[in-house]
Amino acid sequence: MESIALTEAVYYILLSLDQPMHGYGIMQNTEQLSGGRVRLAAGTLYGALNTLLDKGWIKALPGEKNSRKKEYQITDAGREAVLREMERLAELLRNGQQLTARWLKGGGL
Amino acid sequence: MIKKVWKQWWAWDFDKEEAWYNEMAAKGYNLSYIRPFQYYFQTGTPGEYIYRQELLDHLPSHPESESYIQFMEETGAELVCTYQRWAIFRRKAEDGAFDLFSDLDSRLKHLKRVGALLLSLTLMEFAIGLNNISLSFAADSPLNFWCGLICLLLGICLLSGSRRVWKMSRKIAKERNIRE
Repeated sequence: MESIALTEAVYYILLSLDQPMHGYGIMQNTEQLSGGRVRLAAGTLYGALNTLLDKGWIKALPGEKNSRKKEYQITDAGREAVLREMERLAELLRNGQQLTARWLKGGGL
Repeated sequence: MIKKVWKQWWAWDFDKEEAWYNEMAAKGYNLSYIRPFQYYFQTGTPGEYIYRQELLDHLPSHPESESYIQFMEETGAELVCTYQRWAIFRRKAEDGAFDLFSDLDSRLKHLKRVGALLLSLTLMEFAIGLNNISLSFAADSPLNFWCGLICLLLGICLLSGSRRVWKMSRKIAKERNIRE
């Protein structure tokens, strides 16, 4: 399978959707998870949610009767994508740490 | 109190237009609706709102646009008004930074949408312009000639405006080669 790097937005959306959540919840959860660093703008989030729905990585839950707000949740395919991404990130981190250890030891910084 | 301002903005300066709404809002004039060449502002508290302007994929009455606008409203934004395919949103400044897009991909996608609109208008103006001018010779009608000439001039304006949007997109596309 082709390895693809997820965007930060997609990665945090998928993590957030471990629990059923609507759009605003995802925005708040992402900000909280990242310690305020990642703020999803609504237009970006909307586009990402639609793409993830098309890919089958998330699903829209049947809404409550009185509410037009849509809730979403991650699917098995979405979980696999997160796990693949974490392997990729771990590899990046491992290689980075190995190499930069030399920089730090050599007193280059 | 409502304040009316006569002004004309070109579509390719949509970001400058948005900055102007925010300048007005900082002075306590909150945009509330738009008519051709006229902008209506409601007086209010200076700096209360942050305004953002977006070209929608479809007309505001289209179901996809409606679902998008509803989504925006769920996230705390308020639809101020729409003008043709443009939608203007605002949110209280006290709720923090307000942006429509938070990554290069979505910003680029929006710019491409504006670019496509400008290009289709450019082609239309050129087609109508040339058609009128050829008609003016065939029918010996000076009116058609002048109409055609105006269309061609508009087409040239649109073309140079498209270039601005194209340059903006290219800058983002370049940036995207190295980051998200």
